[in-house]
Amino acid sequence: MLGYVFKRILLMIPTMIGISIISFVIIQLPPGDYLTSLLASMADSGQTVDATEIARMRANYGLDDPMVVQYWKWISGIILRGDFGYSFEWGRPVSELIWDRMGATLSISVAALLFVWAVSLPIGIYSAVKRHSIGDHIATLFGFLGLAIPNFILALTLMYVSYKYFDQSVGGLYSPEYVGADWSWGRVWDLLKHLWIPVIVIGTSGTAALIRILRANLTDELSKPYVVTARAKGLSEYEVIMRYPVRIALNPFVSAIGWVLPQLISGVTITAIVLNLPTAGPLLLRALISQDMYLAGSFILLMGVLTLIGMLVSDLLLALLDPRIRFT
Amino acid sequence: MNRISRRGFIASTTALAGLGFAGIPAFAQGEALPPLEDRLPENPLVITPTDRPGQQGGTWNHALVGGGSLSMLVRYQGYEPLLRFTPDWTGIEPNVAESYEVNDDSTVYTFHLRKGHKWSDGHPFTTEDIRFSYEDIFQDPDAPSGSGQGYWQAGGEVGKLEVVDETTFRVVFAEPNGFFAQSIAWANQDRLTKAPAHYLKQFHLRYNPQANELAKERGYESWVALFAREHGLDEDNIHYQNSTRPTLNAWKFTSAPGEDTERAIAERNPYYHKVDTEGTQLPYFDRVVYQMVSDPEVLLLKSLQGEVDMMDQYIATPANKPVIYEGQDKGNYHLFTLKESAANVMVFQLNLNHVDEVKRDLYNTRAFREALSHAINRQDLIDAVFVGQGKPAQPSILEGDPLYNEQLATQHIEYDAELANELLDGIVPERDSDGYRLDPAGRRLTIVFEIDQVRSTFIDMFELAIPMFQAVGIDAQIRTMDRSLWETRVRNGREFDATAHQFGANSGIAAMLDPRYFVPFNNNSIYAPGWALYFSAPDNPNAIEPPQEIKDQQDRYRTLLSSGNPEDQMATMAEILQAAADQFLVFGVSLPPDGYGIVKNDMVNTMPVMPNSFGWPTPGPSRPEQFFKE
Repeated sequence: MLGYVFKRILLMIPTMIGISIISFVIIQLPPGDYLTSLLASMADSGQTVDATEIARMRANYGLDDPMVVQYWKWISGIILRGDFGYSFEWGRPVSELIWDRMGATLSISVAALLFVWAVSLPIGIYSAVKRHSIGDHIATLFGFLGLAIPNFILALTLMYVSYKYFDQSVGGLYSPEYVGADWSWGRVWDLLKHLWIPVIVIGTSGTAALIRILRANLTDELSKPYVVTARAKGLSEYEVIMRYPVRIALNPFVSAIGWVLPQLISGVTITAIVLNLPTAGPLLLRALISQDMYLAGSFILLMGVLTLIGMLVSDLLLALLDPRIRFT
Repeated sequence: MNRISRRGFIASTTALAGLGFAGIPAFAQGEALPPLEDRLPENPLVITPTDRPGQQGGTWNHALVGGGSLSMLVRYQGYEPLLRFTPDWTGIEPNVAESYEVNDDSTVYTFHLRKGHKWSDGHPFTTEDIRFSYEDIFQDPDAPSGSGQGYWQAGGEVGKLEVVDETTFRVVFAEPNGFFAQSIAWANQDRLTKAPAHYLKQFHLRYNPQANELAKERGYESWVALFAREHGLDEDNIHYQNSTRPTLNAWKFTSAPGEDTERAIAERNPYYHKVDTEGTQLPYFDRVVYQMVSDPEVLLLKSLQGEVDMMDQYIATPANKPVIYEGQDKGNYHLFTLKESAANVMVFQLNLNHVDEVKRDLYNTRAFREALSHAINRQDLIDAVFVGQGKPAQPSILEGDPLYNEQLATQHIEYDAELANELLDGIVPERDSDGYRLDPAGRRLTIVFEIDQVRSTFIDMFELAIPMFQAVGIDAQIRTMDRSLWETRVRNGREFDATAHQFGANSGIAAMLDPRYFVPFNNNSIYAPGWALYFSAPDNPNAIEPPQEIKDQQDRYRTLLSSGNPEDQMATMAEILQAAADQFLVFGVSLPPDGYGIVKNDMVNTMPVMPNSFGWPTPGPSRPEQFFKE
C-alpha cells in the first residue's frame, strides 16, 4: 500500500512537468499577448499609444523574451522560491490573488457538494428501490430537467425571481452594506440569503447526474443473488439494502472525488460570472481573456495538481470501499 | 506594518518624502487634520453647483465591470487636469491651474498654479511637481514615457518647459500649437497634475541611489519597471491600482481596485482645492464605493434594484432600454440623456493599403465605394438593430453643428441597387456562374469583413448587409474573431480586406482632435494604416506614401493643429471636411441615436443632458465633486 502510494506520487512528477509546459504553451498560443489586449481596450476608450512606447512597455513586462525563457522564469520561480509570478492586470502577486478568492470558493463548493450528496443519495436509493412508482417518475422528471437546463439560465432565472419577488440584493455573496463588514449575525443571515442560489444552481446538475447513476447501479445490484440471500436470512429490508448493494452503488460517488477537487477551485465558472460570485473561476476566465499569462498559467497548473491528488485519493478510497479492487 | 516601516526607511534615506509619509497615518485615522483654511489653497476654485449647494457626507454607490475597465475611473474621479472642458463642452476653463495665458501666435503658454495647493497628504503641489512630471517621467533620458503625449509636439519638437517660480511655469513651442490647451483638457492626457514628486522620487534612481534595490525587493527587474508601476501613467489600470500615491483628485483610494478584487473604496481628499458658492469644501460625498461586478447582466439587475447611484456605461444599450425604463419606480431612479458624439454607429472600411495590388486598386476606386454604399438599405439596418432610432448618414458632423457638411453626411446614402449594379458594371462587369462578379485578375470578387466579436451590433447589422452586397454581385463575407486576433490581423495587419468600426467624433473640438474618418492620421484610421503611419512617422518601414490628395489633406490637418485662432481652426476644419467629402474614403450607416443613463432620484446636481464621449469623460466634466444625496 505505502509502496503503491509512493509510486503514484513519483509518477506525478513527470505528469506535472507535462501539464505545466502544455498549459504555458496553450496560453501563449493565441495571437498577441497581454499588451495587445491592453492596447485594444485603451484604443477603445479613445487613447493611442505610439510604437516606441509599446516596445518599451513590452520590454518592461519581459514579453520580448523567447517562450522558453519566459517559461523558465515562471517555473523556476515556482520551484525555487514558491513565487508564482506577478499578475499584469491586477498588479499583485498571483499567489495573493488566488488565495484571496479561496475562502469564498471553498465555502460555496463544499456547500454545493454537501447539497448534492444530501439530496441525491436518498432520492437515488428511493427511486431504485421503488422503481416505476409515482415518486420515481417525479424524481426522474426533475432529474432530467436539472440535467437539461444550463446552469447559467437557472442562475439568471433564480436571480430574477429573487429580485422580483423577494426584493433581495442579487449577485455576490453579501448585500453591499455587509461587504467587508465584521462578522455578525446579520452578516451570516445575509450570507445565507445569498448562498442558496449558487448552491442550488451549482448543485442541480450534479444532483441529477448522481441520482441517475445511483439508480442505475443500485438497480443492477438489487436483483443479484446475494441480495436474495440476505433477504432469505431474514434481515430487515432496510438493512438488506443499506448494508450491501448501496455500498457497491456508492463507487461512482467516490471515484468522482478526482474531479471534485479541481472543481472546488475553479468552481463553475459561467455560473459564478452570472452570479457575480467572488470565486476563482471568473478570475481565471478574465486572466485568459486578457492574456495575463502568469495568473492563468498558475491557475491551470494548480488545477492540474489538484486533479492528480484527487485521482490518487479517489483510487485509495475506492480500494478501501470495495475489497474487489487490488493495488497493482 | 512591515511595508510601512520599510517605506519609512526609504523615505528617510532620501530625506525627501518624510513629510508626505508623516501625513498618511494622520489622514487614514481621520484625526489631527489642520483647519480648513490651511488645507485649501489661497484662492480655491469656486464651483457654482448645477442646481443648488449641498452638504458634505454620504456615499456614492458605484460599480465597475471586470478588472480591466479601470480606464473608466477617469470619468468618475480622475478628471483633474490643469484646464478642463466646461460642462456644456463649448470651451475650456481653469481647473487645477488658477489661470493661464496664451501669446498671440500660440507658441507660449503660461500657467499659474494656486498658491497653497496641496496633495491629498498635505504636501504642497508646486511647479516642482510639474518639472518632475516633465523632466523625470515624460522626457527622462533613461526611461522616457510619453504615450498619448503627441500634443506636446509642434514643428517636430517637444515643447520646452520653463519654470518661473513656485506657482508659474511656461511651455514654449518652436512653432504654433493651437490645440495645446484643448488637449490638456482632453480626458487622460494631462500628466502634469498626476505625478506627486515628493512620493515618486523614492523610486527614481536619480533621487534615490537605492532605487534598484528597492525594485528588486518588490520583485521588479529594475527601478524603471517599479517606477512605471508607481506612477502608472502609461496604463490607467495601473495608475488606479495604487492607494499610497497622493492625488489631487476629489477622492483618494483607500482600498484600490486590485488590492481587493470585490470592491474598491475611495475616501474624500481633505485637501481638495474646490469649494461651493457657500464656502463648503468639496467634494460633497465622503466616499465612493465601487462594486466590482464580473458581468453586465448582474450590473443591470443591481441597477434595477437601485444599488447603483449613477450608471451610463455597460448596461445602457438600446436592447436594455425597455426593462430599465420600466424599473424606474422600483429602483427609485430616472433616465438622463446622453448626446452621442461618435461619427457613426458603424463605419465600413475597405483596406485602402491592401497588400494585394488588384484589390488595392479596386478599393481605391471611388465609384466602387459609391456602389457599395448605394447597395446598403440603411433604414432596414436601423429598424432592425436600433429599433428605428437614427437617420441614415455617412460618417460626418451632426446637423446643426457649425461645421455640418451636407455632402459629407448625405452623399451616396440612398439605397439603390440598380445604380450600384450600374456602377459596378462599369468597373467589374464579368460574372461567374454563380452570378458573383470577377475582379480584374479573374478571381471571384470576395470581400471578407473581419469583425471583433464583442461588437454585437456590428454582427447584427452585417446579418442584413451581407445579402445586400451579394445582391449586387459582391461575395461579401463576415468573419468574426476574438479581439486579440482582430487587433493583430486588422489594426496591426495589412492583409485584411475590410472591417467595420465606430467612434470618431461628430462635432466641434472633438472632431478636430479625432478626425479619424476624415484624415488618416493615427492607428484608429484603420482603413489606411500605411497612410496614417506616414502622417506621424514617415520614416517607419511600414509607412506608405499616400497619393497627393491625401498628403494635402494631412497637411491641412497639420495647419489646423498649429493654428490657435478659433476662426482659422473652423475654416481649416471646414476645408478638411469638404476634402473628405470629395474623397469619400469610408461609408457608414447612421449617426448614433441619443443614448441614456440612469441616476437615482435622490442624487442632486447631475445634468439631465450630457455629451457621451471619452474626451469629455462622461460624467467627469459635469463635476461629480458637487453631486450629493438629499
